[in-house]
Amino acid sequence: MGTWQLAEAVALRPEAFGGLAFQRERGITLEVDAEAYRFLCTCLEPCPLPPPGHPTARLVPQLARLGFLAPAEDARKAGDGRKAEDGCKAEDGREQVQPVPHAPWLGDGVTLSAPETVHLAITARCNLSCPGCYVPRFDAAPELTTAELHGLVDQWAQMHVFQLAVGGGEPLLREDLFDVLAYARERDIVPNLTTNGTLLTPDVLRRLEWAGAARVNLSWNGPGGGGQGRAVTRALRMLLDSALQVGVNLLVTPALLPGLPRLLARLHARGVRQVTILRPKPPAIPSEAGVAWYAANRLRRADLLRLRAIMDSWQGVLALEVDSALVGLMGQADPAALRWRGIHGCAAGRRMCTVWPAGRVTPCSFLAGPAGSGPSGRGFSAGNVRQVEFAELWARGQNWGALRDPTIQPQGGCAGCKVASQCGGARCVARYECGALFAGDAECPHFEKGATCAS
Amino acid sequence: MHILSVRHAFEADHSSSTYEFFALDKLTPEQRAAVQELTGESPRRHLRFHHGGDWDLSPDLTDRLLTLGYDVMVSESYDWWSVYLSLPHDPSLAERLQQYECESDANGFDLRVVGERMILYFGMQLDYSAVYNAFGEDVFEGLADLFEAAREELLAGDLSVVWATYKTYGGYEEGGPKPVEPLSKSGEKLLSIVQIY
Repeated sequence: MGTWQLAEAVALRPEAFGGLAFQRERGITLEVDAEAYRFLCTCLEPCPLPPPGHPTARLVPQLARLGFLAPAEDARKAGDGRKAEDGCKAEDGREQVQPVPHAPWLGDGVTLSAPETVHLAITARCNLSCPGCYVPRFDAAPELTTAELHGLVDQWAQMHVFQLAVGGGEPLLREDLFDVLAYARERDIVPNLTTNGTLLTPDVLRRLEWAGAARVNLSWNGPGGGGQGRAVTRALRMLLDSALQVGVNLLVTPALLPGLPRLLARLHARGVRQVTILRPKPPAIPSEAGVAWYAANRLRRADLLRLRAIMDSWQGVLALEVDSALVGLMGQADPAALRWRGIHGCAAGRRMCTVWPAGRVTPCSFLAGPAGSGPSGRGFSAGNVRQVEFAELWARGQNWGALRDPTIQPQGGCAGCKVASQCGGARCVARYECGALFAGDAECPHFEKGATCAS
Repeated sequence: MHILSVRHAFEADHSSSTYEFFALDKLTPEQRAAVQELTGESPRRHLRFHHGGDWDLSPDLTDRLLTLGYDVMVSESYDWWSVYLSLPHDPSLAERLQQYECESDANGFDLRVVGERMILYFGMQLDYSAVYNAFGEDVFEGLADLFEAAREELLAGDLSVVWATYKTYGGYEEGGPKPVEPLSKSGEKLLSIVQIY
């Protein structure tokens, strides 16, 4: 019988319900209860294998298989002083859980003590002009500097943010991109990138590998989608030949749906295994062009039913993921199974947030309107990292009260839905269509036909 | 002490995870309805879940299916093989089985009681050349057949497969459980295909 220890690539973070553990090499996030979190704290130092029948005995094989525990000789050095950093504290011989030093609270179980992933729109500049692009152009202020971004990465590392999803605009237009990604990796935050692919070259790929990017997602906007042209297929070929993990983001519009099975087959034949299906969403700031684009491209109930049938036929062949606005497509699933897979529906402002090029912080990329929008009319911005520490902005969540209020239940057709707690509809769609963040998603195929936002 | 959820935000490679459930008898209409409700899948006697990447089936779902008419579950993920057997709860058999509980690098044997059933877990790594000789190309079906026979033996009181697992992954300790001799055909076969990496 050997001894086990927390693997070097694992980060811990205490939460109100227990805690989170993140395996950086595999990209796996575990939510565990308080007792299991205390056990993980114990395993920061070598811990002997529990005897059969002990409550931890069943946990150890699971944790080992998922890469969270390793034989002690292969794991971290013993006693490396990480306990306090990980919110662990030994008291009277028992492990206790406390907030990590730089996260001012433990969250409340609905909202986490810090985002799991920060979406960083590193630049608003782009070399394309995709018609459905969500990036608001109202930030006239200069972009965050390299030093400011390093400072932010330091704050996120102290709060135990696990992943960074870097996008734009087109992030490859930012000259210091590789430096920022590498700095995040150095601070044990896993950097991922979304790009339109048009600026990828073998040299860029080498630099992305050097910077420690984990997954690169290629945005594919469909036929006529903003002038990507053949550059997308060239970029895809290069990415698949690289050491990077590759995914494709597909913005599925009614025009793309008929050709979707053929497109998925082509992607699979080229070696793509990860495809993320994105739903067209309403513009954060209703411009005339944005409103017209959304009206022409929004997915209606019949489209969503068709999309679900296509996805069902490909599940198991491709790892198909959906964005949080499409969790309703899983409405036939068992809620417990969704919970087990860590699916929480729209996580805006509770588990994730977006930092914009000039430093504004909003719950997500679509609840991002300026003053005059949002529940209080003050917009969805919690503030700017140039004025206030990120941890304070997150904890305060100014203007995000409705998103974080655990007593607010989804309304309309979403009320009473068996997967409401794991889905709850898409906040930005509900707000745009029905004027309320928690209104029902009237297009959801899981609704009774004819259900509306509020009925 | 529980893991509440497991989410894969990016995948490390292009491997896969497969879970196959086998019901030895026909499912009743009530069981079929419950399986449909639970999984959204058409309720067949052989139910298969396959997913790209390292993907865990919820233990809750596994337990519920194993108490809903499925008797054997075989799964593979990254060359780690697991077999679950569902048997009616028999306290005296449970007591005999528990002395063989063991764990080594996530392989081994354990037993849990869920409602009126006993769920037996066998974790193992396989010698694929021996497996090919024993089962041909379909490892899932081969293991399901092997453990279907083993289940009958266990119900008759023969603990050969449990001893074979303990012998491989339990180590030898002073005062350990008594060897099962002679081994049944299932026990012999299992011993010939399992290995320690």
